[in-house]
Amino acid sequence: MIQPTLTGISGSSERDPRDVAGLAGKPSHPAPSRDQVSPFLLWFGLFGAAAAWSVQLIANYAIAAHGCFPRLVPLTEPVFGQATLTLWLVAISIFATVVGALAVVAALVSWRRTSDETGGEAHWLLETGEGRTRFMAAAGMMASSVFLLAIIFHFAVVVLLGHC
Amino acid sequence: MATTVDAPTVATLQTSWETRRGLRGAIRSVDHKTIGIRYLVTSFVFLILGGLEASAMRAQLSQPNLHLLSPEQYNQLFSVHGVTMIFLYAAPVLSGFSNYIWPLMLGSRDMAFPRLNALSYWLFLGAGIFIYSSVLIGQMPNAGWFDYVPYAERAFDPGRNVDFYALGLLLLGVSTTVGSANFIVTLFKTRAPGMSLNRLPIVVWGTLTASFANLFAIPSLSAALIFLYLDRRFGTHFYDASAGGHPLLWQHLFWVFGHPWVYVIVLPAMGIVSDVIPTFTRRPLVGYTFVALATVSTGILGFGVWVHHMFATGLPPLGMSFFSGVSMIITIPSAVGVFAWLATIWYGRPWFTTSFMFMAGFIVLFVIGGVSGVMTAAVPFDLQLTDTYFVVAHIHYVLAGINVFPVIGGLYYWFPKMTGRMLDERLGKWNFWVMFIGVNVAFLPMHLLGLLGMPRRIYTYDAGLGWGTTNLIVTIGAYLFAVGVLLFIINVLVSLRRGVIAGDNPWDAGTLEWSTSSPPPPYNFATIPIVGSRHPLWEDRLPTEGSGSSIIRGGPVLDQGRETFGTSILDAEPTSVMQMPVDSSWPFALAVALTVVCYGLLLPSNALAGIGVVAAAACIIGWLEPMPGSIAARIDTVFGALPVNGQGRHAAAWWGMVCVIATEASFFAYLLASYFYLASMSSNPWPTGGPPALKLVIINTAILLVSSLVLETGRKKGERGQSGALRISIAITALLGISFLLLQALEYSHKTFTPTTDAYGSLFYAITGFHGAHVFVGVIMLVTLFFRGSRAAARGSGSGWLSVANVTMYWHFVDVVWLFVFTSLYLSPYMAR
Amino acid sequence: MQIGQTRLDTHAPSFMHPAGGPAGSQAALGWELTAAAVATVIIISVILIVALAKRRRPAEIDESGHGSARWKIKSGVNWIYTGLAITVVVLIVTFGLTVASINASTHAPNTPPITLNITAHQWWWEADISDSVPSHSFTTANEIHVPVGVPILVRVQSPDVIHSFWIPELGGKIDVVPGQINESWIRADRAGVYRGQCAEYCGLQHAHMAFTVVAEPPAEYEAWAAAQREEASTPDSNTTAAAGEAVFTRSCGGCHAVRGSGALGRIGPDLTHVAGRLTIAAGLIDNSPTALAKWIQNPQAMKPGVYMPTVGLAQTEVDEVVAYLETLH
Repeated sequence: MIQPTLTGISGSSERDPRDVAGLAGKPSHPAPSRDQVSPFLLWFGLFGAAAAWSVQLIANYAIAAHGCFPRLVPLTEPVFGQATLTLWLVAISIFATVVGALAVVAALVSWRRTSDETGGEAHWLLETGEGRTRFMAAAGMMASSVFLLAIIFHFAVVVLLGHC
Repeated sequence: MATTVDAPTVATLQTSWETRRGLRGAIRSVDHKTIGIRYLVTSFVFLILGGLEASAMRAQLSQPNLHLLSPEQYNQLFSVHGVTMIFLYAAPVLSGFSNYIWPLMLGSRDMAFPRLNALSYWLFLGAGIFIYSSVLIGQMPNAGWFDYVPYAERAFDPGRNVDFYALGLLLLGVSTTVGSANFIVTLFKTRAPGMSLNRLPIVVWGTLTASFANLFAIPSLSAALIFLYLDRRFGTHFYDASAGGHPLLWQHLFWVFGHPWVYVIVLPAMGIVSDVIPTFTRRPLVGYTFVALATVSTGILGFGVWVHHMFATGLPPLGMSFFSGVSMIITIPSAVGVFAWLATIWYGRPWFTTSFMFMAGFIVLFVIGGVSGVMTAAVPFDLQLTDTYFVVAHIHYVLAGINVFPVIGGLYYWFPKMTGRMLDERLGKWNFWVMFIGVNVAFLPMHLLGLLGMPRRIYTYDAGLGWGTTNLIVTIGAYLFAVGVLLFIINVLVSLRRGVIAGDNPWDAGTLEWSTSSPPPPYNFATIPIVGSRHPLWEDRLPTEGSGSSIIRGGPVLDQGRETFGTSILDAEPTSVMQMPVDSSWPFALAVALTVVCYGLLLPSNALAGIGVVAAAACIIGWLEPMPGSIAARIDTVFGALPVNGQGRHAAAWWGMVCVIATEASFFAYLLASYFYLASMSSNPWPTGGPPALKLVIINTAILLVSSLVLETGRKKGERGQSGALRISIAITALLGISFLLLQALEYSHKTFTPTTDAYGSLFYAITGFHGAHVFVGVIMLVTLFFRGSRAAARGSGSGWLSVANVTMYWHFVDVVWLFVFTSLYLSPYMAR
Repeated sequence: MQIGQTRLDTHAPSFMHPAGGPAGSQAALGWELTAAAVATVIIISVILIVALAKRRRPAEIDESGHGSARWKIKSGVNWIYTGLAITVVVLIVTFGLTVASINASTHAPNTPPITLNITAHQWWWEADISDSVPSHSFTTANEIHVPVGVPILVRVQSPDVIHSFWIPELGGKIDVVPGQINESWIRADRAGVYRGQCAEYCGLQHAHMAFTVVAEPPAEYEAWAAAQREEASTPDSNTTAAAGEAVFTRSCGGCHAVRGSGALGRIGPDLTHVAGRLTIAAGLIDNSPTALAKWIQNPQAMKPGVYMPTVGLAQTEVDEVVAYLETLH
C-alpha cells in the first residue's frame, strides 16, 4: 500500500506549469503504512505510560507529603492512618502499572502491524528511523518501557518504604 | 552554487526576502539567520560577563581568608554569575543555533512566525540589559540564582536587587515562551515536503523538546516571580509563614521550572553532538530512533525530578524516594545517548577536526556530569552533598561540559555556513586542549571540595579547614578555561576576515543546510527541497536509506512574495502555501515598551509603567494591522492548488493559539496547585472567613458557560454563511464577558479580606484576578473581532476566519479555566468539610 | 584569622570520616556510589579512547578526502542494547541501596533521650537542650556538647530566613525553614570536637555561621549539662569583672542574656557560660581574651554585616567586660 506521491490535501492532479522535470512524483511517501494503525493506538503507545507515570507520581506524592507532614511538624504516623496511606499508594500504583503495561502492548501492536512499512530488518530501522509509522511505534515501545520501569521503581518504594 | 533557477527568479526572491541595509533595516529585520546570529553574539557577550564575574570570585577563593571582595560584592557576583550563565547565556545561545539552523535543516525559508522571532530576541536583549542595569546603582541580584525566600523578601533584602531579578526574569520568560511557541509551530508547519517526523535531525528533536518543556515550565517560574514581586512591593503573603504562606512554595514552583530548564539548556546541545558526530565519522548516527526518543523521554522525565533539589527541606522520606527513583531512571535515556555516540565513533571513520574533538571531549564531560547527578539523586548521600561544592562541580560539568563544549564545537561546525569562512583549525586544536584541560582542572577538584565539606556560597573560608590548596588548583583551572574561551573568540575575529573560503559543504555533511550556499541567501533555498531521507546529501553513499530520492535542486520555487510551504505535522505533506510577513519595527518597539514597563514596576513608578503599557498596546495594534499581500485563496504548486496559509490544524496561527493556551493553562494550573499547597501547609484557618459565598459566583459561572455556547453557535452559523448571526453572537458574548467582570467586582466588594490580609487573601485575589484579566483580554479580542475580523471573514478572507477560530478557542479556554477556578476556590472548601 | 577549634583533628569537616549517626550510613552509600561513578567514567573514557585510536583499515579512513564511494555501514544498535542492560542493572542496585539507606538513616534506631532544639539566626545558632526531666532544659549558643553513643533528636526552626543545620561527620543536612519545624537526628560514636555549619545561603555572613559539637563520655556530658543549667556566678565586688558586669548589663544586656545577672536580652547569643566555649562569633575565631576584646571593639571589622553593633566602649570598659566574660565558665 505504497502511495507514490506526497499528496497535498487538495489531491488535485493539476501540475505546476513550471514543473518541467515532472518532480511531483519522485520521493515516495514517508509513511506508507500510516493507515494500518489508528492514531490513538500510536499515540497511546508513545505517551500512555508517561501519562500514567505522571498521575502516579503527582497523586502519590501529594498523598505522601500531606499525610506525613500536613503542617508545622513531621509525623511518624500518617494523618489519615497507615492503612489508608498504603491503600491509596498501592491502588494508584496498580492503576499506573496496568496503564503503563497496556501502553507497551499498544506500541507492540503498532510495531507488528507496520512490519512491512520499510525494507530491511528491524535493526536497520532503529538505525535510520525510516517509515514514520514504524518509527513512532518503535519509539513507543521504548518510551513505554522506560516509563513502565519508572512506575515499577515507584511501586517498589511504596512496597519497601510505605511509611512516613 | 549551481542552481536550476534562472536569474530573474533569483532576483525576485532576493528582492522579496532581503532586509534593507542600515540601522532601520537592522531594527526591522525578521530574517531567522540574522536573529540567530544576534542571539549567538549577545549570549557570548553574556558568557564573557559571567566569566569575568567568575574570575573575580575565583581570585577571592584562591586562598583562605582573602579580602579582595566584600561579602556583599561576593554575594552579588555569585548571584549574577548564575543568572547570567543559566538564563542569559546557556539557553539563548542554543536558541541562537536553533534559530539559525532550523529553517535551513528543515528546508524552509523562515520560522513560522518571523516577527515573533524578532520579538523574542529583542525581549531577551531587553531583559539582559534590564538585569545588568542593576550594576549602575550597585544593586545586582544578591540572593543566588534560585533566590530563596524569605531571604529574597524585602524584610531581609530591602534593596532593588531582587526586583531586578524578578522583573528581568519575567521579561525573559516572555521572550523564551514566545520563542518556544515559534519553534513548536515551525516544526509543526514549515518543514520541507517529505521531512517527516522520523527524518528530523536530533538537534531539532532537542530544541523541540526544550520548547515544549518551556511552554509548561516557564509559567511556574512566572507565577513564583509574580508572587515574589507582589510580596515585596505590596506586602502580600504568598511566602510569609507568619500569615499563612510558606517559603517552600517558592522552592516547589522554582524547581518545577528549574529542573526542566536544565534539560532546556542541555538537550539541544546534546542534539548538536548527535548531528555533528555522524558528519565526522562518515556514517549515520547509531540508533537514531533511540536517540530521538531518548531526547523526548528526558524532557518528560525532567518534569518529575524537581524534588531532588529539596531533599534537605524536611520532606517526608517516602515522598522523596519517589523522586529519587525518577532521578535515577532519567539516566537511562542519557545512557542511550552515550552508547549511541560511542558506537557511532567505533564503527565510523573519525576525521579529527576541531569540531569533532569538542564533541568527543564532550562525551567524557557528559559522563562525569551525569554520574555526579546520579550520586545526588540518592537521598541519604545527597543530604551530605547538597549545597556543597560537589553540586557546584556537578552544575559546572553540566553547563560548561554539556552546554559550552557542544556550543563551541557546533560553532566550529556551522561557522562556515554562517559566514562563508572556516575557523582556523590549528588555533582550534589549541582552543580545544586548553579548554578541555581547563574545565577538568577547574571543576574536577570541586567535587573533592564538596566531599571535604565546603559549602557553596561562602565568600571566604578558614585556613584550618584544609580547602586552600584545592581551591588554588580550581582557580588556576578556571583561568585556563577562560584562556580557552578567549582563544575561541580570537579565532572567530581572525577567521571572520582571513578564514579559508568554505564553499557550500566543507565537511561533506549529509543534512539540508549544507545544500545551500555559505552564507545562505536571504531566502535560504532558491527551490524548496523535497526530502526523501534523513541524509538528503548522502543518498548516493547510503543507498538503503529511505526512498533515497530527495530533490534538492529543481523543486518548487514559490516566488510570489515571501512564501514557503505549510506542511502536515507527521509526514510533512504540503497542505498550504504560507505567506510570511515582511520586515517590521513593531517587534522592536514592543520589546522596548515591555522593558519600559519593567522599569516602571522596578522604580516603582506607576506613570512610567502606564506609559509602557499604553505603548505596548499601541505596538500590538500596529502589529496586527493586516498585511498587504496576495489575496488569492489558492496558489498553484507542484503539489496542486494549495490554500494560502490554511485553516484550523493546517494554519500556523491556529497552532500559535494552541501554544498560548497550553502555556496559559499551565500558569493557572500552577496557581491552583499553589492554592492547594498552601491550603495543606498553611498555619492559618483556611479559607479566611469560612467557605466563600456561592450565590453570585454560580450566576457568574452560568454567564460564562452561556457565553461560550453563544459564541460557538455563532461561529458555526458563520461558517454556514450567516455572517450576521456570527456578529450578533460575538456582541452578545462580549456583553456577557463584561457582565461577568462587573459581577466579579461586586463580589470583591463583599469580601471581608484583602490581598494583604493573609496568604489566602493573596491567592484568592491573584487567581480570580488573573482569570478576570484573561476575561478582559478576551473581551478586547471579541470587540476587535466584531469590528474587524468578522467583517473580513464575511468577505471570505482566510485570515478573518482564522481570527474567528482563534478568538473562539481562546474564549472557550477562559471559560474552562473558570470551571477549575470555581471548583477549587469555591466548591473545594465545602467538599473538604 | 585562625579557625577556632585548634583541638580539632587536622582534617576538613567531612562525611568521609563519619563519627556515627546517619553519617555512617550516608558515607557507606557515598563510597558505593563514588566507586560506581568513578568506574563508569573510567570505562567510558577507555572505550572512547579506543574508539578514537583503534587501527582502521585504509579503506576505513576518511581524512576529508570526501570519497564518494558507497559506504558500508555496520549497525551499532547492539551497543545500545548492551549499554541499556548494564545501566538498568546498575540503577536497580543503586536504587536498592538508596532505599535501604533511607530506611536505615531517617529515624534514630532507638528513641533519642535528648532533644536539641535549634533556632537558627542570621548568623548564629541558638540551642535549647532538653531531656525527659522538664527542669533540665537550658539554653546555650554556637556550641553544644553531646554524650558519646547517645542518639539526639534535632528539631530546627528559624525566625528569619532559611538556614541549614549540618555537622558532616555526624549526619546530613536538615534545612531550617521558617513556618515549620524540621527533625533530624545525630549521634557521635567517637569522642571529639566536630564542626557544624550553615549550609544554606542566608545572607552576608553565611560563610561565618559555624558551630561546635563536643562529643564526650556521658559522665563528662552530664557534668557539662549540669554546669550549663547553673546561673552565672556574680563576680566579687570591686573587681574588674564586677565593673565589667555593670558595663555589660548596661551596654550589652539589651541583646545578650547572662542568666543570673541583669542582662536579659534575647536578640543575640546567650552568654551565660561563654568562657567555656571554644570559639566566639559562631565559629569565627578562637575564644581568647584578646579575641573577645577585638570582637567587642569592632565586630563589623571582623564579620562585616553582623547584627552586633559597635557599641563604642572605651578601652578600659572593653577590658572590664572581657574580664567579666572570662568569669562566665
